[in-house]
Amino acid sequence: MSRYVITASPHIRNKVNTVFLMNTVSISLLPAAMGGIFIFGWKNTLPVILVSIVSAILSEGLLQKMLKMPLTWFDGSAALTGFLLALTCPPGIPIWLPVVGTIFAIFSKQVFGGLGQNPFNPALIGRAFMVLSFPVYMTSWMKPFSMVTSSTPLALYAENGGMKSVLAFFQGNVPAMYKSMFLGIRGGSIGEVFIPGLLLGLVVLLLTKTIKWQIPVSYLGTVFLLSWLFGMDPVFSILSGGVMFGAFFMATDYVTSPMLPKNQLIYGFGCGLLNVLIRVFANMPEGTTFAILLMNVVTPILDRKIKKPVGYIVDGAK
Amino acid sequence: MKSKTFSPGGMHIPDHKDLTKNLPIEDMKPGKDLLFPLTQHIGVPSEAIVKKNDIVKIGQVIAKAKGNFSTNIHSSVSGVVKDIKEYPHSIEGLSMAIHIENDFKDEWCEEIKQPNITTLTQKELAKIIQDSGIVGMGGAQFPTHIKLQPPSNVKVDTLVINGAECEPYLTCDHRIMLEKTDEIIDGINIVSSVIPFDRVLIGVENNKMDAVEAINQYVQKHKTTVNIQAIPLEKKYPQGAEKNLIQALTGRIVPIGKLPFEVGCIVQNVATLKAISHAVRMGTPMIDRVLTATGDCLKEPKNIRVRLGTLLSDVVGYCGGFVKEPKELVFGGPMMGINQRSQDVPVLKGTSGIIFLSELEDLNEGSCIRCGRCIENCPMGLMPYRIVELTKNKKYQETERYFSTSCIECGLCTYNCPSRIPVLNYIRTSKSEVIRLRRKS
Repeated sequence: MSRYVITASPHIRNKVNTVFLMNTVSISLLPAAMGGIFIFGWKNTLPVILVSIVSAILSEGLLQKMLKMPLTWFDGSAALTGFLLALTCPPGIPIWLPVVGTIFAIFSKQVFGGLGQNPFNPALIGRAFMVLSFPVYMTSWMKPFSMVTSSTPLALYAENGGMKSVLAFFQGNVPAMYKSMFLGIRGGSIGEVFIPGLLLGLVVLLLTKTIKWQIPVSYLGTVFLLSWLFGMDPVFSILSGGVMFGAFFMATDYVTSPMLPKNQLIYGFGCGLLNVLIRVFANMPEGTTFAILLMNVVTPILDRKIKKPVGYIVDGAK
Repeated sequence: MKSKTFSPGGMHIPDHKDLTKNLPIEDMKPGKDLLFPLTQHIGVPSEAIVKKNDIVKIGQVIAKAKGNFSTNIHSSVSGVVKDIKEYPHSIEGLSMAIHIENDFKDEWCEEIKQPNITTLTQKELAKIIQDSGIVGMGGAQFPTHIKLQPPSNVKVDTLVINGAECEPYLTCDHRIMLEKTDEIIDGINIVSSVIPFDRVLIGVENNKMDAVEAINQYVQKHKTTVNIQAIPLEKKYPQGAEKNLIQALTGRIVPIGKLPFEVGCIVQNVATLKAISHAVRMGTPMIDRVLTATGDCLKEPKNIRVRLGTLLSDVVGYCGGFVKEPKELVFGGPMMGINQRSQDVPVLKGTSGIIFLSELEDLNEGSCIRCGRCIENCPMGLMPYRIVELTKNKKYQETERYFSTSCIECGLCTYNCPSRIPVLNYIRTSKSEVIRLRRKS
């Protein structure tokens, strides 16, 4: 008699696996990436993206080999880290910079035990490392459709005294400002400027049930309301900088965000709060990177909550 | 009618029911050799009362219940007892079983007479059911007579009938509801004549609306003493799990560690009710059952009535053999069923399906990416990933803080894990360790 495989139940599996999830996120980044490539020109963007992805995959393989860990460099997670990191870089940066950034990003993940064990979002850690170590490169922005450097709307806001200087840049025309902010005709990182692409990516992530709505909604909602309270234009606030990119693709990282939906709302609120506080009070125009990294620290605390199961009775009621 | 459901958790799984859902139940002739394991129920194994070379008839008791938590076992063919020794068993691996060689005369045991019943007491019904060897036919094989004797201090008002059939592939309950509607309703009438239920709710997943209609039309046409209603349920696994079914149909929640009695419910499978009808009206003990033989390997997937004790290899032969070499063989549904080593195992009272699968799943365990899918889908509202972490670190007792023992082992956590972590296996480990530690103290 032939012998059959013996395993414990269940005997079937959902087709969605880690590789599928990672690649879904990467695909949902494509519209925003293509927007950035179109706006800033492929010469300033495509090499950054490609080098970043390749270097992330290679550093993962190399580190895993060195640390004698199982090789999982093609599971899509390293590629995603590289892709995410590249999209947060200004266009036209020297090509060695994303290499350094991705090596640091992957290193920050592997030292804690690899995928699933890292306390911080690897791509954001990589970016934070680049911003702090090479601030000049990381804050030289390009004007869309040209090779000229320019300032980002947020930098205008932070350095020259608020909304007035932003509006002056747009000759006082508010709808024109909104329109060009929405379409990404402004200085900024490769992946953060093209808002329609980001929204399309969000729709893909939600429809494929890759992420839940809680974090993006509470993050953006908080930024909107708080900037309004602080007297900023709330629409300008959520369109500018990397808030949307962060809320959709960075804060929703499985590993570094809480697992229970209620905690995800709190986490999103925390991200939004810190983001606005950094923008208003701190010495830098943008706060997304550090807001999310700080909330990464809070995640383990939020995850300590024990959910009550179905049929749970309070002690004494028995 | 809006379909009801439970919450939280649960999800629809591709069900593959199209393979067999439109095929009427066929009668399969028994083969030459049949095996009757002495454990075909949860509880004490029955005691063999026949010897080697004894002549037996259909319906004859060949093993007697040992104590209250046990049931009789009957021969399903006429023939000769060849041996009583350890044989392959679909759940235990090996178990004492009575081997009967079929003489193909199909002679019935004279003792089986149509019982002359006008009224039954609860005790009498329980006796008939235990003597007839009836156990839960959904798969758990829990002795039915125990479920029908609620403790005197509880008020039971609802009979919940499980026609959900939420496991993928299986369609036998669906066919029974369509073809044997009268027998199911008769079973309900019998049970509710001894236990005064206020209502009888039959839960059926809404991929079987024809069954819902068949039952409700039958009930409308034939006056019944008790209020019977078939209710569509969302197609969402594990809709047929006892506690989830009660919640979906009545809104009541069975407290942790308690039985359905606690919320005034008794749950029975549709096939079990059909068996009760047979036992009470015709005196026929449990000698056959309807099951679904299916999977991508089988030439002709079928819904068949099979004599208990029939060897799996005979079922394969009846279904035309294989078109693809099966790699995995499941008794029951693919979510909660049990793998079989060979085709030498017999069909038991709880064997609701036999599935032959050609595709093996990727079982390489990766690391948890904390996606939260196990929490999201858990129908008991547990946090499976935490139990896995604690179990990996051998902190079994701490898993109790995460209610590991409330797990109903539906398997959705393992099914959905993108890293292919056998989540349920870890939970099983923690459960058995927790119970072991409890016994120790």
